Amino acid sequence: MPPGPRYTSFVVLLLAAACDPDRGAQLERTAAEREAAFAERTTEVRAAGVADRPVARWELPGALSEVSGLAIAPDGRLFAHGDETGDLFEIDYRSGIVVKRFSLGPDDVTADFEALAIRGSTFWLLTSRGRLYEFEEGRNGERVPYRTAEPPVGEDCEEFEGMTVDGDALVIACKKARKAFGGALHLYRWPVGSRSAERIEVPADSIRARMPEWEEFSASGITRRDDTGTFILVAGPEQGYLEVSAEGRIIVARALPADHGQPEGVAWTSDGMLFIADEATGRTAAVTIYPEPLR
Amino acid sequence: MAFFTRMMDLATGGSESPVRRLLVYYAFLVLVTTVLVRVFPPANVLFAGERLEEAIVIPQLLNDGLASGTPLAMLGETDLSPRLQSVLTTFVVMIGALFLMLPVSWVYMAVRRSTGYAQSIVQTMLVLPIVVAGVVLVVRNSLALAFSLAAIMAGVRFRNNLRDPRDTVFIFLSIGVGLAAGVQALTIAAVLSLVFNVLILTIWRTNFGRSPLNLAPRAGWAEPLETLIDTADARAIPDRDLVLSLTPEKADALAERFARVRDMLGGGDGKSKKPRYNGVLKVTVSDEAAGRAAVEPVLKELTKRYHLDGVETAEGRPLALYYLVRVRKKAADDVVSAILGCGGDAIQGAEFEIATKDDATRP
Repeated sequence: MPPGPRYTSFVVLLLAAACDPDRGAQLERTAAEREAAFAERTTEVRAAGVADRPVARWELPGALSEVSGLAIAPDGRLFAHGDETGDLFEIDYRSGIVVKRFSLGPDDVTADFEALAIRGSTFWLLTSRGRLYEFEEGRNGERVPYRTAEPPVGEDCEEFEGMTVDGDALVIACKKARKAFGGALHLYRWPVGSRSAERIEVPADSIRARMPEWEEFSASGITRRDDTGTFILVAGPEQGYLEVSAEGRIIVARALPADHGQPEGVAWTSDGMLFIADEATGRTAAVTIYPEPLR
Repeated sequence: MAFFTRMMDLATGGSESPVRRLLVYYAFLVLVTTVLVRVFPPANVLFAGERLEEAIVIPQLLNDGLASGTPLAMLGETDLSPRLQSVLTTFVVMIGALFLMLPVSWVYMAVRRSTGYAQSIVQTMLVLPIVVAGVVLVVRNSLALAFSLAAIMAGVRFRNNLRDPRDTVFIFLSIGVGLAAGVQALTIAAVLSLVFNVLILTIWRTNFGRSPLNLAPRAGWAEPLETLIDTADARAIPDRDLVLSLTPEKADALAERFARVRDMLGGGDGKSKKPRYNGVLKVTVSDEAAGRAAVEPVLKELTKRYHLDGVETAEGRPLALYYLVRVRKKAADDVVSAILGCGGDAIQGAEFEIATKDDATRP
């Protein structure tokens, strides 16, 4: 069938219907609108002085439905990762746009990743068994080389789920310590590369004294407040929120606001924003942003 | 329908070319779609396939969980309520799937009208994509809903064997169009439908893939021979290519030879009580004289009687001696081994076929 003018015009018409050259510009417009709305809402909520009111909640895509960790880079960018693969996502938290994604490589890396920490340009992913994956930040779509390490945290903890940076050290939160410890919360402060880690213990009694309904506090995420030097922790099973001092003294213990199904990650920015990531359990996975730490 | 046909005649200048009429139909759909998107821009999301992109790649723009407290808006940015959006989206998606499957059903009716036409397939083709699109709209990106759907489908357990693989292709297309419509990629569904139709029509018009042995001039002759290759019949000839390669002259020659063999064997007329011969022995030899010298003493010993019926020579193939033999059934098994064992380099192979009561036993 020779492509006569009628058929050519038909094909052109079909292609014209499918094309959308305006899409990139539309994304930029949406980002600008969202950033303005974010700033306005942050100001409004801070002025109202209601810490429990989120300023944004970004629902995460399928690849992050099992979001396990959050971390803030020194320049204030938010990173998140999933549970099973070594894929990292940078999210512009003001506009809810996924800026980039990079992966551990060169081949797919699968492990039970539970926490992320960033210091300078160095990233660490932690598995539930306490293995560290260290790597540098990659460009969008890039696969980055990595090396692994085993922090000397001993055999007292059966499962790790949180990690944050404290100066030159990594602070690793134990979700489930051995039964002999009677439900105490253990944090391990490990100066990176050293041969030993300091254990910070939050006694079970002190936790129960503040929150009697908690048998223990199964930490699933931890972050450090640079302004006070304290640690903020969240717990999935208890849907709990805890702020403890560097010595393990409890400062805040409370239940999370009702909208959190299964908190798995927490992060804090130097301008006071608090981020809590929830895995998708009966609802969409999301990152919720509060204007300041919970009280 | 008459109005539609008149419009189609008008648009195609009365052309009966199915391809031309189809292209006009699709052009009409594109026109309607373009007008719809111009008048109501948010509807563009139903055609652009953005939802499909969200399902298979990481979307750049995350959904604002505080803004609406509802699932992702189905249409683009619009003032319509989410419920109305949902209704409109479902309606457009289903109507779109139907309009894209209509031409497929016409093509099916055209290409299958002579053989294997099934009205149920036509009706299924129209309804199935609508159902699939509806299911996909319900499931969306929810893994839990997808698993629930799989469980429900497993419970329903509907199964149907389609007679012709070509019907299966039409059903697959229905599912494909339904899926594309369900993920709001009606453009993909349209291209799928268009390319499929043009391809099927082309294959049909050119009779592409026909058997090279079933050439048109011989088609009339080959048809009666088809009965010889009925696989359900134990007496049938298993080599389909052999049967269909016969020209009328070859078939006549073969029939004459069969008749002569039957006369020699006897018993075929229903009058003789006992056939004179009850088996055919084929011996391949390198040399006729040496072969006969080796074979015939064995036949003298093992058979009641034998007769050299023919010597087949063909360039590039070994010489074949055909013997009609009368042999006791108990000795039938020994004939081939005895021939092969009788020796000499002259014997290259032997095959023996013995007639039984049902004429179907091979020793």
